[in-house]
This record gives sequence, structure tokens and C-alpha cells, in this order.
Amino acid sequence: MRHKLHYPLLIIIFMSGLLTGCGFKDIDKRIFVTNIGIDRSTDEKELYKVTLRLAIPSGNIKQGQDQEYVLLVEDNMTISHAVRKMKSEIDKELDFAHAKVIILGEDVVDENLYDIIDWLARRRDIQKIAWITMAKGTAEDILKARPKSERLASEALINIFDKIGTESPYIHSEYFSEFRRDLYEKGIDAVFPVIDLKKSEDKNETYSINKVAIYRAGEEWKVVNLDPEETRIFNMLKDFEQNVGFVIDTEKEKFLYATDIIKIKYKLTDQPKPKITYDIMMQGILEEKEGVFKQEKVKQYNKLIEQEVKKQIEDLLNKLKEENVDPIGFGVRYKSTRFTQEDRIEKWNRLYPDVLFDIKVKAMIKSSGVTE
Amino acid sequence: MSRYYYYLLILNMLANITVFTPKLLLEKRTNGMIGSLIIAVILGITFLWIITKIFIKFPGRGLPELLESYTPKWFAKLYLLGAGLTWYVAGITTLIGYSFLSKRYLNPDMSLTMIVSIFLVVITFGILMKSQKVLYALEFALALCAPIIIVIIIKASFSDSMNWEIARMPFTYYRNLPSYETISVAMFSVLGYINISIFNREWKKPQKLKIGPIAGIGLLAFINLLTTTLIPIGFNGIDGVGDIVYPWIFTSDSIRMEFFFLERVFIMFLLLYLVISLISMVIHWHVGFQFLMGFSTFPFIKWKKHQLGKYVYIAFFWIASIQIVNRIPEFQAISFIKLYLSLIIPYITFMVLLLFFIVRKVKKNEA
Repeated sequence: MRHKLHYPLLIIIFMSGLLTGCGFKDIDKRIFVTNIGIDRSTDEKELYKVTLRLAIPSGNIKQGQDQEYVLLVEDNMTISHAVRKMKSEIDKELDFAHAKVIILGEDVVDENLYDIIDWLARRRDIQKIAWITMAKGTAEDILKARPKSERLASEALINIFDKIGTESPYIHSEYFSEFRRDLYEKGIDAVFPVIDLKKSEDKNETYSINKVAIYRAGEEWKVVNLDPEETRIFNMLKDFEQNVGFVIDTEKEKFLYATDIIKIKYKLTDQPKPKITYDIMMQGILEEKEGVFKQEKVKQYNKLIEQEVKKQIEDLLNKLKEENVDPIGFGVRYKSTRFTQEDRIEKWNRLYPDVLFDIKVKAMIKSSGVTE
Repeated sequence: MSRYYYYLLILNMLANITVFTPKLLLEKRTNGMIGSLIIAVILGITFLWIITKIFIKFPGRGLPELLESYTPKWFAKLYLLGAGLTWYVAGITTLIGYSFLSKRYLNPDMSLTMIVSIFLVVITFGILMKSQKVLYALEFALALCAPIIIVIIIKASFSDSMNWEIARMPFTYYRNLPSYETISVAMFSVLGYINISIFNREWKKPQKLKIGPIAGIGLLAFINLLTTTLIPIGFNGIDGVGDIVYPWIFTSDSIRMEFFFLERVFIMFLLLYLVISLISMVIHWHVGFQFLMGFSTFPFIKWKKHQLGKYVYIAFFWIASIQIVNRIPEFQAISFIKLYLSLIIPYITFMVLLLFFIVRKVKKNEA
């Protein structure tokens, strides 16, 4: 029996000689791209300006030490060629497998968006769970910024979009794969979070991500920007963001209502007239109050909240309707619930400008906080 | 039935997701896909019932033995050669798919020949093992992979990136007629039972086929086909999923596990499916090899009392695989596999007729 075992063993030993790592480059021969930025080139002959931020790994994180990274910038007609040129500028293999945030410049988001998305999807090593965002201005400026709170190279952007660090109803985060789906899908429009730089007086830079831009595809492509307050409501409707604050400011009462639980459902009917009925239930606490809180007035407070929420949602939905963009996906809902064989999406596009919104809000103050 | 029988069925369902099947099914996503899936499951389960029912009448005997006893010699030889090659091609479809996949995602700088050779070494051991040991290996591989695959599928279904409104859209096209191609591709996921034609040798005790578990298998197959097609649609959109070559790989790269030891499910998914694909190739080629051995063992090829006939087949498997994988471009591979899978239904119908003929002959002999 013993000598029989030798053959497989010999073969395994022989085969292991083939695994000497010709396919793999060791980690010290690689450099990791953490962010990809793509802008419109300022050079007239070229099309894209590609910026890569490469993290330089360090063994220990010391306090007050600036995190090191390298920026590579290259102009070219194609993105892949720019990347290829960059490879000649650095001694290590560029590894895209850890590129967590993709930033597109404001100018490059036009017809070329499809080519960029195609490149990102086609590359095998770019994560489809990377976050995609649009820069106010250029992606290069965003990547050059160094917020002081950042402890590891490019950690700040990852923490923001991950929502493991900061959590805010103003931040919308979008995976690349979701963005790509919404871009190609008829009946829903793709949404970018918009990233901006904010400079304080002591020249400290921070990122500010409190806006979204909606990209309407097609022949008459356009980008619709939402302001921070609209973005907050949008995140509530689209991502079911739970912690949203509403300021109620009337002559008699002034307070801030912070929600804990929001449940949102909507129904879409097209007979006799296209109508979207929202059913919203929310529970929350009073976070800030001017004057005294009176228990017997809770019902009145609830009413005030309901009116305010209803108004804000209606304003947002009507704005989206007037701009003729559909980031929430009413078109997809229409498509997936109608069984007619004719082109549903064209029918919906005709219906959408006339759609009526009926918002029903039921708000409840659960508690007044620590004090009454 | 023996539990290994169910493993064979489940293996085919899992292997279904791996390479080209999702792409082929999704081609018809707005064209009667759901109807095709239902028909495929019903048809598949019917064939399963008939073929298994006949085989359990002959405990411990595989198809080669039955053919030898009840059909003319020339027919048995010809049929076994054909069947051997058919099973070989079944294995090579997975091999083509997975070697392209490894080249793209795991080892871009390694040559295809090298990748295929490494697979082939493992598979060759599998082919030469005893049938019983192959079944043990199958059980082990499934016990290792199935739980994690189920977790991934559940995670995918409840992921925030999964848009169920888009995913249910194929149902709205229910009025479109099912297509033959889609039915035959979907049939592959309920085809595991057909390996009973060799593995029946291992089941020497009389077996019982009960309707309950088989109905369960039918339901499982349907759910499996739905997840195979609807999850990629929900992640990539009914309009966006069409141009993806490996819909499930792309989808697994869109799933994120925030608090797990690997953030990218994709890496885990590739490795799990490496195991599933390998074991699936081993099963196919083991069965194919046994058919070919039934065709001829080349008794005249020997060296110092060692019978070397079987190595002729192994050499053929190696050379043909390396040549095919190196020569075929990816998009042609897809149409080739489509053609191959569309032959499943005629092939099984022929096999059923053959088995009926054998049963009749047995009854005549007894009378």
C-alpha cells in the first residue's frame, strides 16, 4: 500500500513547482488606488483627466501625522490609456481592487457618462460596491483636499459613504452597481451624491456631502440638483432614512421634531387620473423647543408636524415632476404592476407630467425627551 | 432513495448559477422566461420520475450493464461511446466557463493552458476514483459549500441594493410564449438524476422513490431557477443585465457584507463556486469515463501486466480540453453551449424510449 501513495504525492510536489507566483505580485510590489477621479480635460486635444489617489501604507499611525498619499494625474482621450501612462510613472503595480470611492467631475457628467460607467463595469478589478459620487467642481480638487480628521489615507470618504462613521440624513450614498442599474433601467433615474469642499477660516478643509444630483438619461440628458433640505426629504423617501428632523416654525409654536421610526408606502393608480398616494407613519421625539411643552397640546403639535412634513414632501415631488425626473422609480413601479403588452414606459412618460400627489402623514410625538 | 441521489440533484442546481446558464436564461427575460422555467421543471421532474423508477428496478446495475444484457452488442457500444462523449462535453462546458473566469478574476497573468492543467490534475484524480468515493467527495463538497451559498443567496435577496420591483418584472411578460431554448437550458438544473445511469451501481439495496421528496425537489428547482434569474435582474436592472457576460459573478460583486471577515462577497463566491464547479466536472467526467470504459477498455494496451487502456481516455480528456479551451473564444463558447443544451430534451427522450425497450425485454424474458 505504501508505495501507491507516492505517485499522487510526486505529482503534487511537481505541480507545486508551477505555483511559484508568476500570476501574483507580492503586496510590497503593489500600490493601492483608493480613489478614482475623472474630469473633463482642460487640454483641448484630450477628453478625460484621470486622477488616482494612491495610499502609501504605513506601519503605525502616529498622532498628528499627516497621512501620506500620492496623486497621479493624466490627460488622455481614453481612461484606460491614461491609466496605462500612469503605470509608467510609478514603480509599483497599480491595484484597483481597493478603490472604494469613484468621483466624477461636474463637467464630465454628460453624454460621456455612459462610456465612463462602461469602463468601470468592464474592468474586472474595480469593485462594483465602490461608492460613486459627483464632485462640485473637479474631482481633482476633491482628491487634493486633506481633511484634518482623516487618520488613514482616504479614510474620511469611506467613513462618510459607509455610514459607519458619521450618520446623517443629508448623506446619500450610492453603490456603483446600483447607479449603473438605475442609469440603464427605463423608469428610474440615477442619482449622484454631490461632494463639495468647505474651507473654514483657519484653512482647514472638510468635505460636505449634503446634496444630490439626478441624472436624466436619454437624448435630452440633464442634471437636476437638489438643495440640502430637499436631499434630506429625498433620502427619507428613497433610502428610508429614519432619523430626519423637522423644524416647525409657526407664530405660536416653534420646535424641532426628530423622528425615530418612519414607515413609508405608496400606491400608484392610473384610473381615472394618474395619482400617487403616499402613506407615511412617523414616530419621534421633541428635540428642541421654545417655550413650555404642554401635554394637553400634543395633538395640536402632531397636526403641525403633519402639515409641515406633507408640505415638504409635496414640494419635493412636485419639483421632480416639473423637472420630469424620476429618481424614486415610479416608472419602475408602473412597469412592474401593469400587464399590458404595449410599451408601458412610454405610456408612463406621458402620464407622469399630470400625476397628482396625495400625501397622508401620521405623525406622533412619542416623548418629549429627557425633560418635559 | 439514497441520500447521495439527492446530492446529485442539488449539485446540478447549485452548479447552475456558475457560468453560462444565467446568461442564457436571462437572454429571454422579457420573452416568456417564467413560463419556460415552469415547463422545464415539470418536464424535468417527469423525466426524473420515469428514469429513476426504471433504474430502481435494477438495483446495483448501471446503464452499461443493462445495455450489455438486453441490447445488441454493436448498439450498446455505439450508445456508450455517444453517451461518454456527451458527458465529456457536459463537463467541458463548465471547464470552459470556469477557466475563463479564473483567468479574468483570479489569475490574469497565468496562461489558459496552465489554468486548465491545474484543474485537470484534480479532476483526473476524481475520474479515476471509485464511484462510491466520488459520492463521498460530493457529500463533503456540498456540506462545505451549500450553507455559505445559501447565506449568500439570502443576503442577496434582503440586500438594500436588490430592487424587487425590477426583479418581478419578468412576471409581467407572462403572455409571451415560452421558448424551446430556454426550456432546455433550464432543464439542466433538474438533470442531476441522470447520473444514476452509473451511480446506480452503488445502490445495491432496493430503493424506494417517494412522491413527497420529489415534489420537494421540484419546488426547490423552481426556487433555484427563480433566484438564478431574478436576483441578477434585481441587482442590475432588466435593461442593464443583458450585456453582462457572467451575471452572477457581477451580482456577487455588488453584494457587500459590512461586518464579515471579507467585505467583498465576490471573492468568497468565486472560491465556493470553484469547489462546486470542480466537483460538478468530476461527476460528469467520472460518469462519462465509466461509459467510455463500457465502450472499450482497450485490453491490448498494457505494460508489464498493468492495464493502461483507461489512460487512453485520460490522455484524450487532457488533450481535447486544452485544445478546446485555448481555441474557443468566449462568445462562441456561449452559442456552442446553447446548442449543446438544446440537445438535452431529444437525448433524454431517446434514453427513456431505450429504457422502456429494456423493461419490455425483461418482461418478455420473464414470461
